[in-house]
Amino acid sequence: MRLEPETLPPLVAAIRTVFGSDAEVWLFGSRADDSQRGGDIDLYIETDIETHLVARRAQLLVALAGVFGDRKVDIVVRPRTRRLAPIHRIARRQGVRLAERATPGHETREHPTN
Amino acid sequence: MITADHRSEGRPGYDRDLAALLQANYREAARAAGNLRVSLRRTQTLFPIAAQTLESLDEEAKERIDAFRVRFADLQDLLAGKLFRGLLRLEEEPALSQLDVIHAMEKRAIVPSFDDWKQLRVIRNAFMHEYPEEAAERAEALNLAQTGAIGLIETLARLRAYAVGHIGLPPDTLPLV
Repeated sequence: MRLEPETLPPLVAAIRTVFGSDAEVWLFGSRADDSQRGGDIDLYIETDIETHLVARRAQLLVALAGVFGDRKVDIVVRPRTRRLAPIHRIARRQGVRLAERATPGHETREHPTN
Repeated sequence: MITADHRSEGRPGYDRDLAALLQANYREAARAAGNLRVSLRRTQTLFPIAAQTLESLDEEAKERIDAFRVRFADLQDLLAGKLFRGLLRLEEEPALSQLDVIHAMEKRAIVPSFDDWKQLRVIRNAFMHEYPEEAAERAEALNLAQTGAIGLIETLARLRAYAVGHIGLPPDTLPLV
């Protein structure tokens, strides 16, 4: 996996702020492959949230510009209630999981402060 | 046409070729903004649009929506791809990355905020299809774009005001939008 380790905590924090603390995230595409170089940052997110997905994705990309600068970030989001599309299956299969789902029974509401 | 350097006693404080390029690109954007305004009017009764409605539109309404999408993307591309950079070149301010460009536009109050501009970009990508999206997200993106379209036209108007007020381009070379 080729992401600078220091980008992981702010990446996961931003995803959980926007898509809930239960969100899981995978890095897929060329960045998940150690044998390749460069490339876009492809993220696949599973969430319990089902509304305002476009606005949330926009909010997340704005936050991630602060982490990754000009590097292109692509985000695929799947609410868990929706069926797995081929792109979702591919991301899960070849991707590297960056953040697991919070343990059951754990407080799932976001904290008002970041 | 009388150019700026004939009017004043000295040379204009800018490169004339770069200015001519910006003026030509601006006129193209002004046409795109005019088209977008027409599309906004012609889609007015469809908004806000629900996912279900979007899936059951007749062909004529689908064409109106498609024209709106393309015109929104056209104006945004002209602003981000040509006008912002053209303006900075005219001011001899090198901008290395696209982020630098947007920050420079925010500093000049041409875009209201970096975040707003970035969001418009995401909205556009959501309806111009990066990935097949559910109808709910296509509808959400279109609804956001309806508000965003006004923002794009206003951005062009602020860019014009800046080019006239701060760089000194003759106002009659930049038609109002």
